[in-house]
Amino acid sequence: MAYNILIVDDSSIIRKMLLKTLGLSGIPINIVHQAEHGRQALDILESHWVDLIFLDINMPIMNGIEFMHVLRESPDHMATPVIVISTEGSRVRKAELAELDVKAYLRKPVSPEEISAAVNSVICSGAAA
Amino acid sequence: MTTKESLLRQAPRGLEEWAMMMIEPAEASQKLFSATEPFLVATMAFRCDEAPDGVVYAIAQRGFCNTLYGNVLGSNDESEVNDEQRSDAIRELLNIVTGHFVSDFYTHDAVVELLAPQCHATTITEVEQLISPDAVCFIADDFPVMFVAKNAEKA
Repeated sequence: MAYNILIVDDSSIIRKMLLKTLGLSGIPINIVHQAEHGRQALDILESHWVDLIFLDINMPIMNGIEFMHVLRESPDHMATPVIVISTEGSRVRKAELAELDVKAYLRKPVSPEEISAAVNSVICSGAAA
Repeated sequence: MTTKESLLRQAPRGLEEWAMMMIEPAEASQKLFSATEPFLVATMAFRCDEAPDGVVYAIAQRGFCNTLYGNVLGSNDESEVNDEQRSDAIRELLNIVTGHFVSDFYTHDAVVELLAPQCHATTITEVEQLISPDAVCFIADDFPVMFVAKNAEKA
């Protein structure tokens, strides 16, 4: 099975780094969609099936927390696995994300190995299907 | 702990861990920078319930941003880096440094709202205003970069 992935981050350098990491990871990938903020990501999700979402928190227009609340209220995407990659270090914020069923939280700076391990963990758990 | 001490500890997370740059601390001074290259200033504001709003600045020039971009993406051809990519690279560097700075300065228990980083080209005049005893400077892969936090106070 090849996976459809959505990367949501306002930083193009992070999106490119993730694309490169995913390309080298050996994980079977079908399509990688990209969005610069939560609103754009929701637009993509309206017309595309996605197996896994990489999500930043601090973004303009719609941040990652706001996006997660909308996503989890959606019948189509309430179970879509999300890996957060953010610079946020607040315990309260992390707890809030855990309640929104975030599968993994990676704090920037993050290495390609950590990203691959998190994706493999989500895939092996059967969450991305 | 001062903002300077915290920035000295946390800036290497972005410079060394993320961008894999070789760094040396340096005394903040405009003399470190090229007199002919334009400056880029990235700013990242944060809001904290228990203290006044603050801003962290990162100041650098073209050579630093080209190297930063190339290092992160593993590219050696820095001649192809454009203005938008330079701006994006320093914004993301500041995002990483500020995220760790607020956790360190205010602790992990504080809820600090980080706003999306901004970037603009600037002149030596603005840079001179940012150079202060609170500023921290590094030579990173032979290029200067400076960080300074303004209005960061503990309640």
